[in-house]
Amino acid sequence: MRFLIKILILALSVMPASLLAQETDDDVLRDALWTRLASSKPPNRPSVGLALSGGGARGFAHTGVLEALEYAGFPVDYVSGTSIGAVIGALYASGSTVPELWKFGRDARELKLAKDFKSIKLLGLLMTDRLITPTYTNRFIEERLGGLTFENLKKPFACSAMDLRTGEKIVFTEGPLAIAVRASSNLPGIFPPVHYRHRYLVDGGVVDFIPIEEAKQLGADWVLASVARTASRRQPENVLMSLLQVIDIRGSLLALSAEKEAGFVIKPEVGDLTVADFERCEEAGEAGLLEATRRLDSARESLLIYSAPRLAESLAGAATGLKK
Amino acid sequence: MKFAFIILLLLFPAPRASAFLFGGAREERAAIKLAEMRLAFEAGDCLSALEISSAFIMEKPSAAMREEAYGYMGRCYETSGSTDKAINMYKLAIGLYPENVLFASRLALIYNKAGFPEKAVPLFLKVLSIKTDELDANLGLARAYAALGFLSRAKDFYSRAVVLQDFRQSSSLEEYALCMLRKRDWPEAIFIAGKGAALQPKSAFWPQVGARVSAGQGKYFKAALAIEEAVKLGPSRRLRLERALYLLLDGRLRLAIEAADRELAEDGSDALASIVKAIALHSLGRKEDAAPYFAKAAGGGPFTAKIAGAFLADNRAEAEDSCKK
Repeated sequence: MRFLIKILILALSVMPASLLAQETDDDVLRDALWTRLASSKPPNRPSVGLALSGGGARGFAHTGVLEALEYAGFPVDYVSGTSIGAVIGALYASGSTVPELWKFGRDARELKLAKDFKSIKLLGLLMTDRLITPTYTNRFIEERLGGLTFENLKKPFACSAMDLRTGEKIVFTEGPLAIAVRASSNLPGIFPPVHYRHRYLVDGGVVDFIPIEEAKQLGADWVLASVARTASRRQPENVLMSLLQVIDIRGSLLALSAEKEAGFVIKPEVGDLTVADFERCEEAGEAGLLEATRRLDSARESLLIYSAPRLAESLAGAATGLKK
Repeated sequence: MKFAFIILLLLFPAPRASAFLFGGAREERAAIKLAEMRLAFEAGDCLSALEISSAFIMEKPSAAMREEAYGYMGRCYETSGSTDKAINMYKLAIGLYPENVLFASRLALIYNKAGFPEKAVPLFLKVLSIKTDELDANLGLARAYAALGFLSRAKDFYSRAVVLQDFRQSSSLEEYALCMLRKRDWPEAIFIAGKGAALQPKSAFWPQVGARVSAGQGKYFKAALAIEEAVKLGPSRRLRLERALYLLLDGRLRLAIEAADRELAEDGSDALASIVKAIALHSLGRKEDAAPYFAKAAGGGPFTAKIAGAFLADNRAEAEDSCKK
């Protein structure tokens, strides 16, 4: 009996090795190769783009995705975004940290961004025959991005909008940032078009829900897309919410074909959140973190498989030791 | 005399009335059953404890007694594998005794073990709002957050838990270190590895953590040295191949090939050793020599096979390009 107890104690004392022993050969290979990829810079590895979709308040899920990517040391060389993806992408590209992005989510609730959407009364629209200025949204963007230009961002960034007169997709990669982001997130039919460079610009989500191509045009070899997909089955409460839902559904349909161009897609499940639920941004962010965590190993593997031959090319010149 | 009789008459019904109103005899019987349950539970005899519980409940005991009994019953259901019953018991008890941290804590632990960390989180938070230094709740919450990917939050509660344990519980230190590796929080991972190594100087785990911290920062020379230390403490094929990988990533390709060859001499079909050798040969420009090893690696796990496939496809594309030229 005593012998058995000793054996048990001995077995328990070697337990610490057991957690790592549970790893498979695949895990060991992936984690080791990943350290090389995460600490390399292009051209020693492919350049990586991050494309953030539209989706209104649901798009705050991108913040959670960014947090998970940061934990993994996932390289992001280029950023592109549409609508809310443009807002979060611009903040991230300007150097905002992930905790700061979470704070913006809390601010969005306190700054009553939802008011821009939910307080709109159809009767008022009809009586005044005038579109409504998204005061809170504009203030939010101006306070955080006003004065910045694409050229002085920490990471190259692109965002898209649509010219309401021609239906053309307009991609911004230079000039003042705030107005481009405002245009990219400007709801058509409710908010007046943003008049900029002789164009009348509205939300890019109408023509380009997930800007994968834009990230590639910036220079990305491989693109990870974060898509805040439509999941709300809530009955729209009013005409405005119906319009938002139609735009959102159309965006999701556009995303389906665009996604095929991405190296990897993360689609956070944001439950019954609607595009206008800005008071629930943090909930969306948490959903993003959950989903990204769940899919992260697959995302890393996907990028490693794409990168492996190029990573190997750089090994011959990497020796720090004596003998190659 | 008459007065004394009246007094006696007045006093006499008192206990009987109390028995009628408050079930005194039942309370006494319930107290006895509860004591029996307690003894059985403490002796690890859950079967008896659960048997007694039926008789105990029949006595309609007081809320305070039921509270104690539910604790024994819930844990006995857990021990006997009746997790559903334990969950129902704890849910009922949480509703009745919201201030009792045991029920929320046990239920949260069940949820954590069953793979529902999202259900465990609010329960652990509730426990910690009542008792901040509850060790199991701190550790459980850390695990739940780590499982969900909330690594910064997990760090807060792991750090509290290991401090509450005075850094003397190796399994908690190990979990914490792994969480910090995932978070790429190198200073914290190294700090915990130091504590772990002090507690278990002969464990290979801690130098392995050190090696991964170095590798995570691209310092492969240092990583290889640390993993050599781990190999000395607990030699294993996996550790030796992890060392081979660090040699490869450090660009010491011939040493990596030698290390892989040693494993291939043991097992010629070793996919991990094959991919190490294949990548090293490929990097040296010996692509034809690498091809058979990539082919061998394709028989490994799904990821190893795909990596091997990527190199083979790259070689084919290169060959086709040179043909076209």
